Amino acid sequence: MSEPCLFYAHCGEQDAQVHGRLKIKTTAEQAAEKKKEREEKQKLYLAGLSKVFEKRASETYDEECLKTTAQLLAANPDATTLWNIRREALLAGKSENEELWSEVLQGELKMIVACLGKNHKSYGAWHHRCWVMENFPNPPWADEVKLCDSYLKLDERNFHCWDYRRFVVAGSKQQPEDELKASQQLIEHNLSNYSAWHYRSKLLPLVHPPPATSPHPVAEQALIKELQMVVEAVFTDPSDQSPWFFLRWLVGRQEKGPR
Amino acid sequence: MDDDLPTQYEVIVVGTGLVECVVAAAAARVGKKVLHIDKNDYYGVQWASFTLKGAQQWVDEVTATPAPTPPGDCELEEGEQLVGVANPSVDYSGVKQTWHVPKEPLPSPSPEPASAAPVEQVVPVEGSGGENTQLMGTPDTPPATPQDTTQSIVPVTPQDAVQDKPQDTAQDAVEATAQEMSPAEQSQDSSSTKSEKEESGRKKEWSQEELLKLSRKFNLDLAPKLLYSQGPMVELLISSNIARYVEFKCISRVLTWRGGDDGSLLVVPCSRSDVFTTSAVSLVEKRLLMKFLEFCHQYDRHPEQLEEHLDKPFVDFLRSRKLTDNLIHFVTEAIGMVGEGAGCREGLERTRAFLTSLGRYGTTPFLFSMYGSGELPQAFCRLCAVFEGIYILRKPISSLVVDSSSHTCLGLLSEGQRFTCNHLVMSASHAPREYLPQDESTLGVSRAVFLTDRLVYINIACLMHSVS
Repeated sequence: MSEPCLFYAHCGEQDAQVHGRLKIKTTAEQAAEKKKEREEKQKLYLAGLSKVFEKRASETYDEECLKTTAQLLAANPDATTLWNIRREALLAGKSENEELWSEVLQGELKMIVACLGKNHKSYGAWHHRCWVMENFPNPPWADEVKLCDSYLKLDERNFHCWDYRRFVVAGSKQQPEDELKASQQLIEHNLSNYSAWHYRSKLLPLVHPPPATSPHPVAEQALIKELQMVVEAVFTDPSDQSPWFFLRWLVGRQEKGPR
Repeated sequence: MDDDLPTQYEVIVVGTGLVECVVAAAAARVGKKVLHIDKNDYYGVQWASFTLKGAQQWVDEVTATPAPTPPGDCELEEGEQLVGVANPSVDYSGVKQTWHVPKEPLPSPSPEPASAAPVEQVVPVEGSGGENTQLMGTPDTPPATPQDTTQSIVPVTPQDAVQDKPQDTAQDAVEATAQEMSPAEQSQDSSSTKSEKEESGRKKEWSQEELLKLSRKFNLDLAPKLLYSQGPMVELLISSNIARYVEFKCISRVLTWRGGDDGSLLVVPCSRSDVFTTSAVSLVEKRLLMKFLEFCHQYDRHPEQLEEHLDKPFVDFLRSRKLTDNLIHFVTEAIGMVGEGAGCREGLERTRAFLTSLGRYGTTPFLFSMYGSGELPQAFCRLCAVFEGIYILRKPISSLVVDSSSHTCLGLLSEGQRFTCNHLVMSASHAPREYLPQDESTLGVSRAVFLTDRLVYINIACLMHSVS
């Protein structure tokens, strides 16, 4: 039997605790209550769902439609159809006034954060966020980089968030130097973060481009620094794959010697 | 109100120290009728946390000559007798408080940059042993201060009556951890609010008046307590649901004092990411340390590698693993936290306790109750109260009612009122002296609380810089 090696684990901080607890109920009582609660939730959800479908059929994209989809998605952010209906409703009610439209989209960003709280790996929610940013007259990119930072802290291998980060960086013209720093921090926090090492290999040639004749993927000065970091990582934990992969990339374009 | 108070209980607990509170909670949880009283107007006895003003009051209280409690009087049945109880504040000696800042705010900004870090010191010395030495780091020699403080914090309060409690081992271990970190990390908390204000301009000069205005921002512990994230106390808090009553913070870093006149504070590399990023150990040391820590984590699976070392000193074992002096310091002083003479098995066990607690809630193995260690006894009281335990503070007891022939306790007398009980629980410091072992020489624990307006770690680093 092998227990998980906690020495390696990096968990999030403990949830904030709540003041003033009541006496614990017996489990049977609790179970019955839970069941009742669930049934009621189900009823509400299904009622909301049929209402939204009715509205779509009759193409009445009103305030209520937006409100109901928001509530349903907060409960279940994985329902792609609901996201689609929501986008239809948003476009139908789109204001010509840029300010008003921006306000609506800002509201969407907040609503998505609520949904990500429920499931931070929801395809629909992250996709909707991209859509919102594309529709902004003046997208608030800077905040989005921070949002990525916080979600990567929560789960450093959340590929949805990594994808979104690349989308944001491309859109915002975020400097690759800053991104390189961000990847450094992630690696320092946990050197098993393969995503961060990989991201680094994409950024380095942009920040430190090698001379055309160089056999290396990056300029020599940077290469030496990166090698040092890899060596430190490998000496810390030689059994971890991620720095080795990075090392292979780092030295992989060496000219082959004569046969 | 008093007339409605029932006078018959299954368990009466006297004093709201941590151990007493655990007993009270456990008794109430299994359905016993519990009365829990304390003579103070705060919870915790020697575990209490205070505001700044509260700490001052406490100093006044324990330094004042105690008024003798009258033995009290009530109608006794035949064969009963009254036995006087002890005054627990006798346990403290040499308590004093020192300010290093002016009483009132200075009228104009002083041209000199602030150099003295500690603002106030409260030095309680616990235990009645004569060999207590007071450790008072002076503000003019800051490099010596952290060491003195840390060393003055030594495990266990000597006189707790109830011994076989589940968290007893945890207490030892956890309190020992305070050796390395309590002053540093605590002052971080209390100073964080202040430093925000300072960011904009030059260093603020504090005065007593200003600090006392912020009295409630302080949580000063008589017995600072760190919990191993995976230790028995934390497990107890979770399994009893008591953790819900308390907020915890994961300690952000562990510091250690690396010796001598030119010594300095170092961050202890505890997790893998710490080892990776630290510059305090060399490349080869990184590998040695990681290898050793991985081994410790599951040391009992490799009995063949241990055989010849188990009965020898821990340090010898570390040397046999080719650990450098630098690493040995980190392992014995900060990770295993064992003394120089510790045996191999003890060292390995303590190191493993540290390692298994890593990563559960953060990057160090320690949790601290956010609003002071005094939260812990209170949380146990709360569970007791939820299960119908009755609480009365400011309730001194005058004497015990004891059956003269069988020497069993029948109840107690408090403010002229008699309460009966099947079981009485009290700490040894409350208990009548004649019931305690006489010859036992009790070891004292020296503690000091320092208030400073900056981080201890950065403080030292800056000082070193300015000297060189």
